[in-house]
Amino acid sequence: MSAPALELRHPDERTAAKRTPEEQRAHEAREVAQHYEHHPEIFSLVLDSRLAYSTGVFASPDEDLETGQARKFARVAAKLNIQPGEKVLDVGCGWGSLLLYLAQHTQGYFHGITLSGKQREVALQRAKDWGVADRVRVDLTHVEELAPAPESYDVVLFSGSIVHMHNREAIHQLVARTLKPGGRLFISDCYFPEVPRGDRDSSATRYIFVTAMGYCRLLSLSEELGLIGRAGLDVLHVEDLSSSYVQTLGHWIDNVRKNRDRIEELAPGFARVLQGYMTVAKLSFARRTALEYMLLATKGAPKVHVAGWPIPGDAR
Amino acid sequence: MSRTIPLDEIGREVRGIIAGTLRRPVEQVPLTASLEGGLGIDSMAMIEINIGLEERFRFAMPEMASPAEANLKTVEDLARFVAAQLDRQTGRSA
Ligand SMILES: C[S@@+](CC[C@H](N)C(=O)[O-])C[C@H]1O[C@@H](n2cnc3c(N)ncnc32)[C@H](O)[C@@H]1O
Repeated sequence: MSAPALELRHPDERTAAKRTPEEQRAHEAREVAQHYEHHPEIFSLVLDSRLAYSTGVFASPDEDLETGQARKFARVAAKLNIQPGEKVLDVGCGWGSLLLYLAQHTQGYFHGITLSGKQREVALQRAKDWGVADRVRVDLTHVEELAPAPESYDVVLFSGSIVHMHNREAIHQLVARTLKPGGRLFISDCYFPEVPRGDRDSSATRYIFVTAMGYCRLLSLSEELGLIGRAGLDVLHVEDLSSSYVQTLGHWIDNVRKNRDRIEELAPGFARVLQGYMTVAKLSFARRTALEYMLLATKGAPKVHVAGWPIPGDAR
Repeated sequence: MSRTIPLDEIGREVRGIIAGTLRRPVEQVPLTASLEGGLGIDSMAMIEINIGLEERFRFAMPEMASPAEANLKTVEDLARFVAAQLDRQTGRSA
């Protein structure tokens, strides 16, 4: 069965499509890492205390960043229901936000990968400080070079990271192979609406995807779900977090404003880049020209039971 | 910074920041120039200009994806808008 080709939505995606997978991998490893290789203090001034660099989950407009990110960690933990001894791969673990939260709150074994050596150092130091270093490993590698053994992980996570990966079919095939039966795939990331809305070739899109973040590829939700399904997994749950991301970005932008001078000292010009891309993103999610979703899928019979999740509403 | 900055000085700064963002000589950015039609300021340029203004005047500009969204037509409109925002956010004495 031949899969429908993924749409190429902007010029940099069309350029990427002309590269060999090896060339594109090298391109991503080099260009994407630049953003995350900035001084970790900068991100500590902008993000929450666990350094989550993806959307939080906000229940009301007056909540602070710490609350929104704490709810996200707890919600993801509940969705994954990691059992003692289970093995978790966090693809694009950043400075270890979700990875270390899960390590502290479960008895699983955790393997994070990132493209940034500075992120790896921070994550490993925090693992030590927080007493979970014996169950946490972090490697510096592009996911396509990981070559994990078949059926070796119970959970694979992508939180704000899959957007950096061009060759999505290959990624989903790799994930499906490496999951054990009953294994879970979790993704939290951004998507374009199914029908074009807004100008995807605009200078603002290029600024965020290329100038600020190195390389990004937004699919539509149905494209990602299709890839997950064709790789042999079943989608269990999809949740929209677009308005939570607007709120998250609002907090980050305010923190850039408050810490502009210190950020400038550490990396001249970077405060502008942060505020610029975050403002473009905030406007896009507010207008829903970009959408933020959390996805959960299973390999075979699910070990988590979504029908029992607490959403208010009674049968009559 | 309190808003003791006179409007004509704000105007000069606004022209300089627009010129810098668009990479044009400041003489090509008179107060009377139209932001969208004349100078071709798109959404990204507007965002960058607003960040430049925030850096210069240490206040917060409201987020806007285009000048029209805040009813701004000319460079002078933007300068007056900045002055009003500064008054509101820093309290005016002068
Ligand atoms: C926006 S950060 C998210 C970090 C973390 N998941 C969080 O939510 O706080 C994206 C992360 O993905 C990593 N990344 C991007 N592409 C990757 C790839 N191809 N292989 C491994 N890591 C990748 C980056 O190095 C970075 O750590």
